[in-house]
Amino acid sequence: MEQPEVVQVGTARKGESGGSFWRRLLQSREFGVFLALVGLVILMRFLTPYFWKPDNIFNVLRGMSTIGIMAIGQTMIIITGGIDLSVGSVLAASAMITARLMYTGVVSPWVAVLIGLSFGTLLGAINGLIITRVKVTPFIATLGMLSIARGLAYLLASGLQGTVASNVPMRDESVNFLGAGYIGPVPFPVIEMFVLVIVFSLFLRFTVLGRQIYAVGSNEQAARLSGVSSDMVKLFVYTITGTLAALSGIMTAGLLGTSATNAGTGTELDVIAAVVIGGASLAGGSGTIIGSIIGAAIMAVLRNAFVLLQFPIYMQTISIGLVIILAVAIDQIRRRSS
Amino acid sequence: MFDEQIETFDKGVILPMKTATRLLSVLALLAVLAGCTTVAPAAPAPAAEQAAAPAANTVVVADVERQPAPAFDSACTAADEGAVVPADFTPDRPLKIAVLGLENNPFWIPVKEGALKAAEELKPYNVTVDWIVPGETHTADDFSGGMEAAIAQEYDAIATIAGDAGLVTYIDRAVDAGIPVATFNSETAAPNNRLFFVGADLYKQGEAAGKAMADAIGGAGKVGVITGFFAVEAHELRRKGFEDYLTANNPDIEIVAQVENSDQGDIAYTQAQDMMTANPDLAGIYVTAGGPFGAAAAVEDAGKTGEVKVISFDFVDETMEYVQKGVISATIGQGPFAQGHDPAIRLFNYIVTGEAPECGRLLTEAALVTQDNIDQYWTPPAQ
Repeated sequence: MEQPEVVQVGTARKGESGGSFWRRLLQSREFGVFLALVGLVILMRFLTPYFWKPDNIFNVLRGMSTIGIMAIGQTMIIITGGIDLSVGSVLAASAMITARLMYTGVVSPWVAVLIGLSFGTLLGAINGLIITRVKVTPFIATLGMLSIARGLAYLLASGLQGTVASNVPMRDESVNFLGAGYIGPVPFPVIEMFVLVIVFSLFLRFTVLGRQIYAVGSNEQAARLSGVSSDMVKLFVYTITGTLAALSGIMTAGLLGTSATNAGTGTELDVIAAVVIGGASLAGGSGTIIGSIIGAAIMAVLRNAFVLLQFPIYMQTISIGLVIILAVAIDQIRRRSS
Repeated sequence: MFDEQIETFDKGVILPMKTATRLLSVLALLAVLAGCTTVAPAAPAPAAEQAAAPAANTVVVADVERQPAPAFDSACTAADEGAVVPADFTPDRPLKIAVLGLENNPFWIPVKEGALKAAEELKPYNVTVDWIVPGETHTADDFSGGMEAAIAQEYDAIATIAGDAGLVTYIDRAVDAGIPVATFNSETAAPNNRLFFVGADLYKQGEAAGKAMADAIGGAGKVGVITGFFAVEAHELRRKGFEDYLTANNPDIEIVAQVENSDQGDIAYTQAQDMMTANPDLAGIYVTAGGPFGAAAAVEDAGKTGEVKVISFDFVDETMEYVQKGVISATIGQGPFAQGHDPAIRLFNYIVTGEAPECGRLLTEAALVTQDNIDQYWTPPAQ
């Protein structure tokens, strides 16, 4: 957290624009990752005729949409120097409560969605409270929540048949549109992702709270001394990440028409990887949402390539790991040389 | 289906009380081994006699001479799978049997039903069967604790899932303490002192899937494989069995992609889309483990129902709905009811008769469920 290259309180790294805009752009971490993505896309276009078809591009984007949406929250958390390991479980628990309420029919489908979103928000807020009030480190607090929320998902899923946790159907056309809908040729989840990316990018860059997120991550003490309530900032980022995980859960259940007990298992690692590939530092203080989305896109294109190019099976597992390390290593080298 | 078999079998096995204990145990063993078809006509004694005369068949558990366990690797199919009945002996003291299972997904519903059915069947013999869920995963992380607790609580027999080699020590510890252990659903590759295993031969299941795929797509074409985890031995066995079968028998079938979906439906959905994109002439998708309904949904959404055949495992509701719709051409079972039911009954029989099952691995039936026979295996859940 105490890095030498401390940014001034209230100033985001990419905050100001000046004569050196192009230099800044070229030196930014996001630009490096963006070039990597472009390179990967060009390579794919060259290697297979199927990659650059609109259908395939939309499939890739839809496939990364829930990871991308959770990466928005995770980026903000990682900028504050924290981490959230519970997103995959919060996703499952929120989707499960939504599907369960819809299945039993006690409330109308959209009320069930609201309750599901609120539930995720609540779980996120609990993360935030444990971290800020009880001073449990984010890693431990959210590791605990990873288990608790998964357990809640099982609990909410049990009882349909005997007591064994069972997947719960979710069959409302209008709600499922969130995960399975199309507007023209564009999958609706892709639109949701881009709208949220734009909204939260603007929020991070142009609002006081957005700037404070960077401030807390750069130098928490300095931020506090200049009047930033770091606890409030942290509570906010964990809470909103809970909401975004819940939305991702409802989208996932909507896509398949069923809320699965194991939905989102291990997803937290994909989300964190996307953020890290996208240029954020786990030490806090830096990172952008655009970067994280590009990170998620790199992984999605790679997974698409597994199938399109018939990757040998074990190479798939290795390549994901290589990309994570390479992305961060290249960035380190770039920074040292500049 | 199971209930019918149990009924016939009940009448068959119960012998008149005049028979000497020794003869009885031999017959009971025969009954266990031979299955209902052979035994049913032999001794048509009315079921009522059982209740009338349990005392005559009382056995002193401590005096029963126990046979050694069959060879660890020996395998056979029990004719009375899912329908094995308790040997007609009442132990001189109450017995309790622990069945360590899981409840983390709908696959376990029929397994638990099997265990509960066994509990019901053993109750008249003064036996308690406890269904215990030690955790969330197959692995020794969760089941070692369950085994330790069951040993400490002095269960007379333990049936457990044995998901990895870490459990070997605990199984052997129980056996050393005089507690017979059976494994079900999954077991360790490393030999241990368990009495028997009830579950599927996963490699053969993979071969059966290969045959089902070949039949569904007419023996030629491109297929994609979606496996759960490359790291899970069970999934790999199903993947290899499938691949080897096709290599040996259907050289015109080409496997064009193999990916892992972490058992998740939404990932299978994306992968199935990618497979259809990369191979517009794709003929089939094989899903080795969890989330086959994701692949089926992708096929349906792409309007390729009937064109791209999906082959999967197990009988969970989502899967069965797609079988009924014709999107999933076939799904292969592994006798989940028997996996929950048979271990407890056979352990009881071992305690009261001392007779071990004829082989170490009692392989469960790999039933093939298609649109044609789905009614025998599944009724849609009431909304």
